[in-house]
Amino acid sequence: MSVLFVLLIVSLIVAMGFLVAFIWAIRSGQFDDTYTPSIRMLFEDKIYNTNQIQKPLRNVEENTNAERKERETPFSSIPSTQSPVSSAVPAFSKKQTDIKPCAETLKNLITTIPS
Amino acid sequence: MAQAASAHPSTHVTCFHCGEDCGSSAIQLAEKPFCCEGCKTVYEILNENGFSDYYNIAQAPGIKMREKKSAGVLSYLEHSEVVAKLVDFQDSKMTRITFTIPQIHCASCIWLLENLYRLKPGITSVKVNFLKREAALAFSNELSLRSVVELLASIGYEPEINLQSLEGKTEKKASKGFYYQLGIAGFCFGNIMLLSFPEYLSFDRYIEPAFSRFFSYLNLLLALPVFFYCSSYYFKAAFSGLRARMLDINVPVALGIFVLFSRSAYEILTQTGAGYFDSMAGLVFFLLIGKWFQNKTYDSLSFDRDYKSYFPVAATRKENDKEVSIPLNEIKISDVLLIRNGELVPADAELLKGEGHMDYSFVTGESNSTKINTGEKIFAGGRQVGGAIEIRVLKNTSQSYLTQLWNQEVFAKEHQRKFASLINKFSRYFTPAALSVAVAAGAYWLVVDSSIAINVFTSVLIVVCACALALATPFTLGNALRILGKNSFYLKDTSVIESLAQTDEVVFDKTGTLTNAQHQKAHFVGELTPSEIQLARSLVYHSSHPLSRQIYDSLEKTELLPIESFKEYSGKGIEGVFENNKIMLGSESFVKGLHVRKETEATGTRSWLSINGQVKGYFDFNNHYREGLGEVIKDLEADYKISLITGDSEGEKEFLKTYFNENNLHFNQSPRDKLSFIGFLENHGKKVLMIGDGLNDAGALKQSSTGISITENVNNFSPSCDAILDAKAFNELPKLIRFAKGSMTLLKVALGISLLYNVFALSFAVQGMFTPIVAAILMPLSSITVTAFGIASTTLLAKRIKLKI
Repeated sequence: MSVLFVLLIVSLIVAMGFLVAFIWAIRSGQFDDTYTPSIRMLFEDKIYNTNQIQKPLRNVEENTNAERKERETPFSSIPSTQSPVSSAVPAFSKKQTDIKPCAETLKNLITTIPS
Repeated sequence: MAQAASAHPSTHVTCFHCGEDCGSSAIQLAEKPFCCEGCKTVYEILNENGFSDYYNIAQAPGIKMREKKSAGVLSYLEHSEVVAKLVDFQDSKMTRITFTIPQIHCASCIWLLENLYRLKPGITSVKVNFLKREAALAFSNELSLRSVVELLASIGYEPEINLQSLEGKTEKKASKGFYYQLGIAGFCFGNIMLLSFPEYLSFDRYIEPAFSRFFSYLNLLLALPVFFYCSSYYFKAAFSGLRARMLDINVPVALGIFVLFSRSAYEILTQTGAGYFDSMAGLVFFLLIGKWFQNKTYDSLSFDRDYKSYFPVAATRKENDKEVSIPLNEIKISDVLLIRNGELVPADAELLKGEGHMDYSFVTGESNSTKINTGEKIFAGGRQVGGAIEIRVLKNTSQSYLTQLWNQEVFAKEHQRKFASLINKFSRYFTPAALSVAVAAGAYWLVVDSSIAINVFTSVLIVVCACALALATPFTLGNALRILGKNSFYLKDTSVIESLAQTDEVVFDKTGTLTNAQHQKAHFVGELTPSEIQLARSLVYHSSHPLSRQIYDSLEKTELLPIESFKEYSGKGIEGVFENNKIMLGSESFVKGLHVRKETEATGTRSWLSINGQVKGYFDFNNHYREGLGEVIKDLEADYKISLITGDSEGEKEFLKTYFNENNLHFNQSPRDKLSFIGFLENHGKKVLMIGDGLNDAGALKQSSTGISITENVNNFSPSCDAILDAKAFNELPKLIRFAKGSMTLLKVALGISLLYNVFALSFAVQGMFTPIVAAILMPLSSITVTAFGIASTTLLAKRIKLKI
C-alpha cells in the first residue's frame, strides 16, 4: 500500500507539469489572440520562391536576455517558409489553380469573422 | 476579375484592388480595371514585389486609396519625443511598435502585412492581431518610424495615430493574471477532489490513518494557493466594499471562503476531520469561471474614448514660410497653423487665409458645414472641407471650446453607477440575515451541546455564503451579453443590462443617430441624361465647396470634360461652359433668375441645375432618416417617454413632429446643453437611456444612466458610452431592450433557485449534520443548476423574442 505515497506524488508532479505548460502558454501570449492564428496557419502552407528573399534579420534571436524579458509575444510569425528546404521546392504561387481552393476556404472564413 | 468585367457591361466594372464601382472611367492596367490612380499604384507596388497572392486570398481585398497626404503630414514621426511615446520597445538596433490599423478586414490583409518584410528589407517581423485590428511590427533601426508608416500608408494600411496613442499603452497584464488564477484554481480543485475521494466513500475506515493524514496534508498544501492567490480578488473587493460601507455580494463570498479555509485547516491540523477544501477549491474555481464568462470583452471596441482619440498627434506650423510639424502639446497661442483638407482644427483659432468650410458635426452634431470668413473664429474639433487654410491659434488645445466639455464634473471622476446592482441590493439584506441565523444556531447549540456549537456556526456560514448566489449574475447576464453581442449590440459589461432594464425615458440625438450619415448624399430630383450627368459632374469637379463635393460623390462616375470659363459666385453658385453648353448650379434664385419667390418651403438645402438656361431639377441634401425609424419610435413610445435633442436648427421640425411629441423636441442644443438636460432628468429620478453618436453627445452619454452610441462601423470611433449599437441593428432596438428586461426577470428566478438550495442546506447545517460529503454534493449541484438555468433560460428568451442566438 505504501506505494500509494509514491504514486500520488508522481501523479501530482505530472499534473503540475500540465499546469506549468498552461502557465507557459499564457506567458508566451498564446491566449492574447485566439483568432488570427487560425487564418495564419493557412498561409504558411504555401511556398514562395525564396531565392530573392532576404532572411529575416538574425538580431531578433540574438538580442540580450533583458530584451527577451521585455517582449511579450514571441516572434513565431516569421514564416517557416524561410527554411532552406523551401527554396529547393519550385514556387507554384503563380499558378492560380493551386491557390483557388485555399482562397475559397479563406473566403468562407472571412464571412464567419466575428466583429 | 477580368472575366467578370468583360461579362458585364461597362457600368458594372469593379476595381480589381478595392472592389468599388469604377464607373465608366476605369483605368486599365494588365487587363485589370482600377477605380483610381491610388488603387492602381498599390497594385503595381504589390505586383512588382511578388505579392500577387494578395488578390487571390480574398476578392478585391484592397482599401480604396483616398487622396494622398502631402509629405509634410507625417514629419511629426521624426520627433524623438513622439517616437519614444509610440514605440513599445527601442534599443540601438531595433524598434518594436504596435499600430492600430482599422483597415484590416480580411485574410488578405493579414497575409500582406505579415509578409511585409519581403517588401521592405529591414522590417523583421509583423504580427497581426485580427480581432484587435492591431499589427505588432519589429524593424531594424536602419529604417525610421516615419518610413515604416509611410510604407504602410502607401499600400493602404495607414496606422491610426492620434493623441490617445501618446498616452501610453493600456493594461494587458491584468487579464493574464486572471488566467493564471483560473488555471491554478482548476488544477488545485481537480487534485483536491481526487485526494478527497477516500473521505467521500468512507474508505478511511479500512485504510491506515497514516494515509488519510497524508491526503489531508496534501489537500492543505493544495488549498494554500487557492486561498491566498486565486481568491484574492474576492477578499480585496469585499474589503473595499466594507470600507465604502456597502454589503455587496463579495462580502458573503469572501466570508464563506475564509470560514471554509480556516475551519478545514483547523480540522486537519488538529486531526479532527477532513475539512472542506474540495468545496472551497470548487467554489473559487466556479466563481472564477463565472467571472471569465461574464467579462466577455470586445477586443476591437473601445467604450471610453474622449476627444483625444479624435485629435491628431501633430499639427503643421508655419515658421517663416517653412512648414514644420509640431506635436499638439507644443502649440502655443498665436501660432500660425496650416490646415489641409480633411484635417482637424486642433485648437480654437481665427481664420487668416483661405476659404474655410468647417464641418462641425463632431462638435455640435450640426450636419451642414459652415462657411468661415477671414478673421472669424474657428472652434477646435472642426474639420476643414475644401482647400488648405491658415489659422492663428487663440487658445490652447486643452482650453478649447470642445475639450472644455471634458473638464465637466461627469468626466472628472470614474463614473459611479448611480444604482446598486440587483445582487448587491439583495446582498444588503441577505448578509445580515445569514449572520444572524449563524449566530442564533450557534447560540442554541451552545446551550444544548456546546461541543458542536462552533461546528454549527461555521457550517451555517459555509452554507449560506456559498457560491450559487454569486454565480447567478455572471452566468445569466453573461449569456445575455453574448446574445446581445450577436445581435450587433455591444455592451460594456453586464451592469449595463441592469441599467437598460430600468430605463423609463429615452432621449435621441438626431444627426447620425436617427439619420444615416453615410447616406447623406445629394440625390437629384428630376431627369438627367448620361451626357448631362457628365456635364454636371465635370462642373462640380472644379469647385471645392462641400456641397459640390457631395454632388460629385453621388453622381455616377464618368470621364471628366474640360470645362471652360468656370466661375464661382460666393454664396450663390457656380457656372461653366463646355462646347457651347452653359451649365449653372446653385441656389434657386441664381439658377432661375431673380424672380423666384423666397423660400419655397424647403426642409433642407437644395442646389438647382440648369443647362443652357433650361432648369433640369435640383439636388436635394435632405437628411436620410434610418429605415424603420417610425416603427422603432412607435414601439418605444408604448413604454417610455421619448425626447429628441439635437444641435441642428428647427429646419426639420415639421417632419419630426410626425414621430415625436412636439414638446419633447429640443433644437439648437450645444453639447453642454445636452449634458445638463440629461442631468436635469436624472436629478428628477428618471433613468435615462441616451442614444447618440458623435463627440457632441459625449457629455450626455456619460451623464445618462445608459448611454448607447450608434455607429455605422463598430470598429470606427465612438464616444465614451456604455454600449455600442451597430446602425444595422437600429430596427431591433425595442426588441433588444425588451430582452434586457426579460433577462433581469430571469436573473431574479435564478437567485430564487439558489436561495432554495440555501434553505435546504441550512436545514442540515443547523442540525449539525453538515458533513464534508453533504457539502461536496450540494455545492456543485446548486452551482450547476443555477448556471444551467441562467444560460438556458436567456437563450430561450432570445429565441422567443426572435433574436439571433
